[in-house]
Amino acid sequence: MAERIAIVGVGQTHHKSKRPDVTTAEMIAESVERCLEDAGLQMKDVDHLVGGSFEVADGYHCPDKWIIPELGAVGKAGLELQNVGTTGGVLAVASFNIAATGLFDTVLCYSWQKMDEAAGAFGRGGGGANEYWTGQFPMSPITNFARRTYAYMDRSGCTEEHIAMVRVKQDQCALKNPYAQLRLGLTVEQVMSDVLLAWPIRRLHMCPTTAGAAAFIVCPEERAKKVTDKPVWVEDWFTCHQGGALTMAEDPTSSTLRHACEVVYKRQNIKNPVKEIQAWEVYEPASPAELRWMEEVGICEDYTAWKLFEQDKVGIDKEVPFNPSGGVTATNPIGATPVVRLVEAALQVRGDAGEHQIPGKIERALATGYGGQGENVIMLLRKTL
Amino acid sequence: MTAEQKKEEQPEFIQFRYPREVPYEHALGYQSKFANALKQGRIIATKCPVCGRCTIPPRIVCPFHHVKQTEWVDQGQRGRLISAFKINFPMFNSRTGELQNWENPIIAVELEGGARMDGWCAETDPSKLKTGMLLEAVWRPEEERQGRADDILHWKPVEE
Amino acid sequence: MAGRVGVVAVAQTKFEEKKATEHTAELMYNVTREVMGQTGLEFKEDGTGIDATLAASYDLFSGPAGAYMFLGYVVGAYRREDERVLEDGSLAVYYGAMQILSGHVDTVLLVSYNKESSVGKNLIEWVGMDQIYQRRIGLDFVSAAGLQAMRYTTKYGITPEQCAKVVVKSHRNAANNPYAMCCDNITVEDVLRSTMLCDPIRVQEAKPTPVDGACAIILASEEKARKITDKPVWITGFGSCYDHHELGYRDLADCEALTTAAQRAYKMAGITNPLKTFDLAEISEQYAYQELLWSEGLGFCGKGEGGKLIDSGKTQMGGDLPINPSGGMLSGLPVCVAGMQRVAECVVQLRGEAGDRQVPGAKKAVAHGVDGPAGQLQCVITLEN
Repeated sequence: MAERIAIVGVGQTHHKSKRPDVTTAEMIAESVERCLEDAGLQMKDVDHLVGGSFEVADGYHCPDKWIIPELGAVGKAGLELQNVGTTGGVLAVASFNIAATGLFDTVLCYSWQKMDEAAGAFGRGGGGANEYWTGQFPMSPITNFARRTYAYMDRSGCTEEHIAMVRVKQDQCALKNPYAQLRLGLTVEQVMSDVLLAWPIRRLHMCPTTAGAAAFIVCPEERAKKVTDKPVWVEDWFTCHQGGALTMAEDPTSSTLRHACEVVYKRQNIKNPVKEIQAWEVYEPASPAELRWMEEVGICEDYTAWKLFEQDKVGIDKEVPFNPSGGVTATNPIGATPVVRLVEAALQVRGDAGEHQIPGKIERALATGYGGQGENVIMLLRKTL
Repeated sequence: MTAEQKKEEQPEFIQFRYPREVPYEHALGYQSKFANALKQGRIIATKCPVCGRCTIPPRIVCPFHHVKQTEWVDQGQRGRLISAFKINFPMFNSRTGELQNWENPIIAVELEGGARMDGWCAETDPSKLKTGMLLEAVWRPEEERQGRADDILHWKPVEE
Repeated sequence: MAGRVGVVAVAQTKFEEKKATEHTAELMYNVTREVMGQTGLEFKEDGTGIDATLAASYDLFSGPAGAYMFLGYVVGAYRREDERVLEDGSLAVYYGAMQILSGHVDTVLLVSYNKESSVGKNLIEWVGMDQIYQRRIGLDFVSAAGLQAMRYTTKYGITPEQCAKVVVKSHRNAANNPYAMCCDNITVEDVLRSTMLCDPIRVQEAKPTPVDGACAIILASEEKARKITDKPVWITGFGSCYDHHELGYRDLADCEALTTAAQRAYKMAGITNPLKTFDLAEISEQYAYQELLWSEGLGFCGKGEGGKLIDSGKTQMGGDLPINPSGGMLSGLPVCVAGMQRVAECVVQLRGEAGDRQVPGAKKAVAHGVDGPAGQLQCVITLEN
């Protein structure tokens, strides 16, 4: 690595289902302002921007063009990236790469989704598709996770009650996070009697539609130390996509998460992830996905994660502090969601997460982005160098 | 604050109408062979010369070995059920462009030739579907086939 | 900055109005395989092959939302670092170089593809304008260019003949380029007689649309590049810059953003006199007037002197600084692919492999890409052999 880098400021909006009070640009500006304030910097100090959203869902083409001026960033260097669900992850990774070159001192990453405005003009490509074949089936993320969960339940012995317990845990965490969108105070019974979308997925199991934005600033070491006394070091990152290698029909369980983690753990010499990583913000588009992801990141053995819920071991102040922010089933501004994960992980490392702060010292935190059919981005943060 | 002022400050959305249809035209390219076979009531798949994996939809290159796929293999008319689910909310029908409810469960079938593909099941009661059960393709009349996924109307369970 | 970045292979398809028999995946596959063949690099897990893939494409041109995510496997994006820039292809080269300079990867495969024939380009570019004000007036990228052409030619007294000369030069140069689409002996009179597209831009003064095609490049770290090829071409500098989106906020007769982007790149490369330094330039002129305006921004002449520059003959083949020996965008290139293809053309020239369009003894070149209405986002990349 050319330069060691650190996150020096983070910001996000209070995520809501509808934001008629702001335009898309104003909403992004909210998160950017919070982020600049957090870092004690101004827009004039930023010298490179990286931004984006899943623009097709909002019915735009290259929206960075009209966002940039409204952020007061005319004259600055920048670019936009988009990889559907992992957009935020790719944006974060691009920001890391750009900061690590040492060519730019202060890199601002902004991301958003304003789904309350989704014009639907260009449709939403749910199940993700080869425009000829898969697009002909009525697929969506809902059906993808119905398949995934069905396969998981089939192999693990986990029941509908267990996945409802996962949803309740997520909600309990979200209740402590003022930025989260859905803060409902759910019970297992409520979840189990909710509208069935595609068995075993109920409405409450799926991520909501969200209007929200998130941003962070990353700097090379020397600059980071000047800007803040609480830098969060970015230890490693990996965008592990699979480019549509497998369709859902071919393998409903396909995921790159395990491989991606193995690569990163090996590079950083992490032998026992449960001990060495104290905070997890892993992108679960549907609540039951959390079970499989816990196994794939190395928290427990295959097909046993549901037992941890049965034993009440998962929660902010419990044995496994998984998604203390409430996760994606509580808040899902698509293009910004992985950045929200990163922002939350960084707050945990700094000890600034407030009510949903995990007790004890957080030396390492892992955040991920998920998209398509099992694509993942890994971002590993550290408190000390 | 007067009622009028209050009304002025009430945030709201502004609605714009977009053209409903954005016409796209895609060349099928290497997939033409597959589409033409469907019109003739046959299911074919590309096969990787390295790993032997058969894929539907056809792929130009094996994702795992990055080798060009040139061999086509007939997949037969029967297959075994891998997974099934029923959707309980309206979704678009790509033939009509309209939102509709879907009575028939969507299933994944492993064909005799080894490829796996999506389809619809003739049996509408999901509880009667068992992993591994034998299914047979029921085709649309030849004149209605367009090289599309729903040229196969559905998959019908077969007694063994 | 750790070392330099080398371009070790480039490939492009023939650019044609409508590739009716080829799927996008075939275009991607052909250029990918060609650059892999040139370098002998394969996709390997052990770090001896291609480390990362980076695409530049617009989903709205490809059809379904997230189109790239399900085509990635064609360019080898399976369980590998993979990102996609939602900008002109030059920005992918810009960011790809930074991926390497960050020390995170050693080799990056860049692919850019576009089939403009899939959907109306104007419709897509219309949704590239801000949704509340500019779209309502009916502004798209063509009308934005019309406004810019009007302002530029009026302010500096650029004549219609001077603009028409650009088209004549492009089509003549394209006759030497086997990949180009429009190569004929068009005359200034023919251009000026063609239908008015968007006053003052005539049909022949605009990039032909639609055009289908793809381009691929492999970038490598200095050490790897020397091992892979004995004719590496080095990226010596790069810069990008955003301008205002609202056309009324800038003087359209000047391209401040390009001037800044060029200065950033030249500073990195240690270039002070671009007209003298470069042996050729490959720039993205979607409309004839843009070659003149961008020449000013790139520092080849003073403000308002673009017309004189083309009159002087310096930018013709055989002149001091041939601009677009390949024929440029006016000879037919798809948007998005254009920027990457500009870099590829420079590389072919600097390797002395340009055949009939070769600029003898070319040592240094500059490539330019642009995205957004009236050149809102500019990117400049300098190269040398």
